[in-house]
Amino acid sequence: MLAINNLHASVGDKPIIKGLSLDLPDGEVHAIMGPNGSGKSTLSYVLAGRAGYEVTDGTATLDGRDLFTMDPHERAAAGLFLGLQYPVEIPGVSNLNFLRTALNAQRTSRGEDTVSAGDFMRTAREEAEAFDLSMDHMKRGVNVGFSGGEKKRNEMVQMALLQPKLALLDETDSGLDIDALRVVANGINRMRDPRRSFLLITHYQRLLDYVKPDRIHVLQDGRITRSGGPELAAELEREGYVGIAA
Amino acid sequence: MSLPVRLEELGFPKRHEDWRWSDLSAIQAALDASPRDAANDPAPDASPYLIPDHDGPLLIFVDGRFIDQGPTPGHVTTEAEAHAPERGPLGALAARHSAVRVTAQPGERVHLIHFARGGQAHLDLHYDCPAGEAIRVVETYVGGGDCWTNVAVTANVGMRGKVRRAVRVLQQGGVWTESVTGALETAAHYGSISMIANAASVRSEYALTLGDEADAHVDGTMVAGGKQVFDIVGRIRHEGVGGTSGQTWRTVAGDRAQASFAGRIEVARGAQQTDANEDVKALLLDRTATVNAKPELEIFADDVKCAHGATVGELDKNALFYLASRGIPSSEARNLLTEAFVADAFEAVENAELRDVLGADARAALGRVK
Ligand SMILES: Nc1ncnc2c1ncn2[C@@H]1O[C@H](COP(=O)(O)OP(=O)(O)O)[C@@H](O)[C@H]1O
Ligand SMILES: [Mg+2]
Repeated sequence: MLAINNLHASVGDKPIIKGLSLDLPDGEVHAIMGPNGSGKSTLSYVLAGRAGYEVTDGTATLDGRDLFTMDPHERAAAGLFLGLQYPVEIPGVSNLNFLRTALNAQRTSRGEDTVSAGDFMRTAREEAEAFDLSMDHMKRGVNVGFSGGEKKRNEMVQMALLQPKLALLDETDSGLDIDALRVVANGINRMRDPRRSFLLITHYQRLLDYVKPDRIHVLQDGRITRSGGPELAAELEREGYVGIAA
Repeated sequence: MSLPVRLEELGFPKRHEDWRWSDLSAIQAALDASPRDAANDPAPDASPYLIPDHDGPLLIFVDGRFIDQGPTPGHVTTEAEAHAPERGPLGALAARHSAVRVTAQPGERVHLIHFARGGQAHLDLHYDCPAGEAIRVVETYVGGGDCWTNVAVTANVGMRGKVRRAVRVLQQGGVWTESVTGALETAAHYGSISMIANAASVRSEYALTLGDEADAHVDGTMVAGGKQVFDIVGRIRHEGVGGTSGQTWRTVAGDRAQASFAGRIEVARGAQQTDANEDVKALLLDRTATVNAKPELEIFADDVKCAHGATVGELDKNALFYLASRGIPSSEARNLLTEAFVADAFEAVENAELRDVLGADARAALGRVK
């Protein structure tokens, strides 16, 4: 699904990702854990194609397609979804309009039919409910007046509607109380599929108690310093990042 | 009275602060245009400009002349040649040269559509609203070419009366000017919303005087591209106790356009508990465009709230990335954000059909400046 090979990336002139390789097979859930400032969000932005995040070396492919030759919206249409650590507020663009525009833009770009207004509303309503957001939230400006937790759940609604092949979820668990964390975890588990993969970027073990990852990678100073099975999370919790450095 | 033929005759101040951002030189082309013989002109087609479900009188004007279209236009009266007191060069010109004086009567929604086909046109509009009544008007300005449309509006609003105006400046090219003079008695309301686009040059002046607990809102959107020059010069004067006012303007400027706003709030001695607000935001699509914003406060009372904010910015890069990351191509993302930005000024419009029409006007205008 996702193959990253010897990735180097800079912000401004500052190298942040320094030779990162990762292989995420179809249907698997991997977690990237790492201390603050280790480059987790930078990695997600580089993969999504945010301006200002410059790839200086290495490759990344999604189902064999070179991500770095695609514009951000093309990567989304190719099946990449990035759940942002800090979702953006967009006053004046309703959540529903945003979602329908996004969904139809992706479908059009893949040569598929656009979704009918009725079908869209039905799914939007269902997914909003599944993630505990009201229709009022859906009609409001994107993330405007949402609490931190509501913003994260709104990212999940978007993921559920867009049905990506690969979901990068950047600290979707932070800022959630335990009930919201369960709602989010259920959503992820419900979407697990042999043809869909997840990369969960997280700071804490908490989310991984609810979503069992196939593998865990430790990111430190722009490199993966250790990889292992799910038991690595507990070890990290005990020993901290310093103790675990290889 | 013979029409002016030279720009110099119009009496526009040369070095006046209130005129420094206006460029009305394009008026000369309209003055040069020879008077047209309209006898054989086809009747104008108003259908593209109508507002769905509008059931009040529809008044059609061509080059300042009223075109009688059958049924009596409700309670609106139109009469030849009237004179309003002097009120600045634009208002005086309109009063002197308008072919008709239009007086809207309360109780109905009026839609006035003006077609400019070349040359100068002066309109003298009177919205005299008795106590407790309401006047609602939509003014739509279309047509284009070497034209100058000059509108004077007098709004006298009695106690608890309401005047609501929506102004659509959609004239393709040419000059459009207006001067609004309003007097609001106790608890009276004046609200206007303007959608300004397309014309080569625009100057909109308003001067409103508010009595006790009166409320005035003058809001609008300017969408300027090419070399368009738009200028808003507003003055809201609070003379009574407990008055409220708002001026909300959203401007989008691209290419080499210039859009300016100068809004003055005056609070007279004794006008305590005044609450006045100015909220001016501009979006620059290109670095070559110019936006000017000048709030001015003159306050002679101590227990008042006056707030003003003016920002000039570009589209939010975080929002652009967010939209792109969801699969929305950048041109579409820019459109969404720009439309959302201008729609802000229409939020206050209660009539849903009118709000939609203004939104569609804005979308069309934005499509043209990009
Ligand atoms: N836009 C930026 N400008 C400058 N430095 C940045 C920017 N984004 C990230 N960085 C730097 O890159 C490093 C990694 O940041 P980030 O990827 O946000 O880490 P994490 O998500 O793991 O906390 C930090 O040192 C941070 O200061
Ligand atoms: Mg981060």
